[in-house]
Amino acid sequence: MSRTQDDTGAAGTAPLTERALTPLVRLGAALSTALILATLALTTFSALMRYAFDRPPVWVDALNGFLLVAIVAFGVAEAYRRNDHISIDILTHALRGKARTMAAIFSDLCVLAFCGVLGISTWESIEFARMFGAYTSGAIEIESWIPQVPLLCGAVLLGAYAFARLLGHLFGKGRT
Amino acid sequence: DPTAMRCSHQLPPAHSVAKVIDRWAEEVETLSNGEIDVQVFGADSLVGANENILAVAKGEIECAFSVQFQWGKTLPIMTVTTAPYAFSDMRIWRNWDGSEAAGFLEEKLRSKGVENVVWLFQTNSSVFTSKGKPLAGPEDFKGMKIRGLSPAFDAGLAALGAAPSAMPGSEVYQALATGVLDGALTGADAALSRKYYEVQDQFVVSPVISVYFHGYLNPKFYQGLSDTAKAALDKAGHEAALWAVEAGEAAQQAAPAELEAKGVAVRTATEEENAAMEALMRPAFDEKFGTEDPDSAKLLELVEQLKSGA
Amino acid sequence: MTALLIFTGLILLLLTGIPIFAALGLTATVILLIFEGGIGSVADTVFAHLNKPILTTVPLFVFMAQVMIRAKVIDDLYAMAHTLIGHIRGGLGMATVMACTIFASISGSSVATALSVGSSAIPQMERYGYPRQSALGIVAAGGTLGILIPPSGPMILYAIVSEASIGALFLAGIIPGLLLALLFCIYSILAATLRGDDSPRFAGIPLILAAIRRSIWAILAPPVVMGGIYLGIFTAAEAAAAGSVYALAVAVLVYRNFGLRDLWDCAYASMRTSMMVFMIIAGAAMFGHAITIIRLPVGVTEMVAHLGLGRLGFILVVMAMIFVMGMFFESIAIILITTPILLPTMAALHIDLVWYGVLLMINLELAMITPPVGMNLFVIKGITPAPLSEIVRGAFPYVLIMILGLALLIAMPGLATWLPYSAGFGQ
Ligand code: NA
Ligand code: NA
Repeated sequence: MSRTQDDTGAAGTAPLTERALTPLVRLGAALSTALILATLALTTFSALMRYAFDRPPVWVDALNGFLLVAIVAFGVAEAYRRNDHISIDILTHALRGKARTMAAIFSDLCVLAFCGVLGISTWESIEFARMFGAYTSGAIEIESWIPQVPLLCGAVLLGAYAFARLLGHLFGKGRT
Repeated sequence: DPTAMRCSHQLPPAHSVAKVIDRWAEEVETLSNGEIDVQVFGADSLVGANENILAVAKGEIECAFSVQFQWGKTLPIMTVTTAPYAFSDMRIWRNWDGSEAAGFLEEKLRSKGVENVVWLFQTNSSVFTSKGKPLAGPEDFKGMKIRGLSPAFDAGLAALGAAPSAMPGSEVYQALATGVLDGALTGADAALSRKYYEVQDQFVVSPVISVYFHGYLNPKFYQGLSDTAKAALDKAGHEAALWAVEAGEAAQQAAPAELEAKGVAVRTATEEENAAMEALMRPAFDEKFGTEDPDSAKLLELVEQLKSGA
Repeated sequence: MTALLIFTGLILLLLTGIPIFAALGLTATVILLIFEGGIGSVADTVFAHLNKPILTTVPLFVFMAQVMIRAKVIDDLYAMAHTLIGHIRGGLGMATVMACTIFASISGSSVATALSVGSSAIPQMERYGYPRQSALGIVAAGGTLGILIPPSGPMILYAIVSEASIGALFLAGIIPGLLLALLFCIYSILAATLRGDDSPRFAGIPLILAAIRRSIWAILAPPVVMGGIYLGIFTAAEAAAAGSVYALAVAVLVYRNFGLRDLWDCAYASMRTSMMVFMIIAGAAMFGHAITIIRLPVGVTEMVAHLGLGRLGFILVVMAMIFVMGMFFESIAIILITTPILLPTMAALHIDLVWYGVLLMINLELAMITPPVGMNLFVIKGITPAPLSEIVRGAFPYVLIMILGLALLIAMPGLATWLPYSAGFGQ
């Protein structure tokens, strides 16, 4: 059971496959971080326009919702890379050697499967929404598949990283 | 074995339309001799309000209820009734179910990819709430921060000089209490159930918009039903449409007195005030909405016929 | 039976040590494949639960905490509390509770509270010879006040689901929050007395005044954030942004130790912390959708209804159930999974939504310090080298205290409802 923080920089000791993907994952993290600052600016702007100028921008709320999806999608792979996710390791933390690698492989497979499910489902959802001609309702009316695209990117990015980690666990002697 | 029909909607269980939906569900089960097992999931508990339409169209669930605004740009004709003051005549709604106008919209929904089974009128009477001075005529709206409704309707509000704001429903009460918002537009019954009377003291009843819900099924699921089940849905749909109008009218009539009993000032907008409001709001709404397109024009014409009580 | 299988399966999967979001999501996937034959609803469900403007409060509250930590605003806050009451027996613990209480009224999150106060308080307490286990426990527990004392992100989430008034909930949390803080302090004195702790010497009035002057910017934050809400300047959801801007202003203009690099690092740290929450929201959304579509919640509600419990019986059963869930689930998941299931029964039993909201928050505070899954336990783990078992043991007395607090609130609903109702909020 822990939130294993890995601040020493995974890149240094990680297997080649993980290192190869790291720049892309960090790019996603930078985007996600920038979007958090953007929601801060937007929310402040909205409050200011309403309170000080009596001109509330109706679109900020809706945009913040879409941005939040993007923040998660682009940041999730980085959080996984830094082992920020929470897991229950009461049983597994005592494992050593081969058993520990097996547990790590199982974990990689589960995350990969999760990404597969989310990615396939999002792909289908985007396809259907385009076919149907669905629009978001509310203050921002755009084709409803557009704000779902980041979710697809997030599933692919996290999936790719989980796959890289899996390869590392299967073939590398790197850390577990 | 009964066929499960999962129905999602966004309303809290105590809402008058939610109660009509529950009654409709029982009626469908009874009339279909138990062939359909209607499972109602209210309050966004299964599928969110924004996702209902696609979830039904895709067939993830069999049935959902949406309020007209939800269709937005996906099927704009569904939201024509948000045109300010255009649908205030109660005869439109009493004569709605089974009318040519309803059939016209049902056909539009079918070609979009869902099968409409029931129309549930909610209200054609709204209230403008505020603190201090009532929001009756256009001049009262200058600079007032009011929670918006849809882009086209907001254009109408802006034409009055008001400042439409966006805010989650659960925050409106607080915003009205503290003055983040200056006023609200809501159904008379919702003004009661959401306790707006605690934080607002002026209520102007005005037929500015009509609100309706409608229930629709996945077309494949509908086609797969037996004739008995289809007939049951048809009959239950007609019955529920009447229940909804009755419930809506009753709530509409009772609401002003109930609000007054809470110690706030309630008045009904005069014909002149409504006309003045409409004169400003309609052109702005029409421009944003594009009501002159042939479909909208046709629907508005069919709606005109309903007023004569045919 | 199905319910038993599902929860057993989920717990077994969790025990293999895979990320919680993946365990929730994959359990949901299996349910959907077996009962629905497809996973088509997954994307829309995840999207719908993340596409919530109000969730931006999560990263923003964490961001504000990060700014205050980095600019060392929190160090001054803790130093003030320490100078003021550190000399009383058990005073170090009380100072921590006091700092947590003040920071809780700035921050909407327990994680942020434990993180920020803990990073100043734990080294300080250790330096003055406070037993480490007790120090870890009191920060873990004190941090949970973050969601009971307003503003509170989880209260906002509960309000979204239940449609209870956010303003009323915020006011309702104040007295119970202060009550719990008081109970923590009393325990701190008792424990220190039993241990026979020494106390540092009284700092003297001049030092106290100097400490208060230094910490004034932290002390002013609650009135800025909460006052802004009740004066109608911003909405409850905007409080997090307002708090962030205030923290930035204090860091840049007063402390003058904050540059663009710090801004970016704080946002990055907030992103990482928020991801833990959001990933679980995504997994919990999938799980919630899967068990809802097979009507597990309806079954549970019917079962409870069949038991024919009265209001009190219902509340007790629900609280016990949430306590057990709290061991395994993260608080946001609990709010999102249980509230919609329980609402119909609560309406039927005329249970006050604001009162229940406060009970739920206290129970969720408990969830944060009960093993195996407790967010504040993990946070403390993240900022100290201590093993988790030591943190769990340190936090255990507070589990009992919070249960006592919960019992008091159940026995005397007025503790929660009096303030909002006398302020004119609806019942
Ligand atoms: Na708080
Ligand atoms: Na727990």
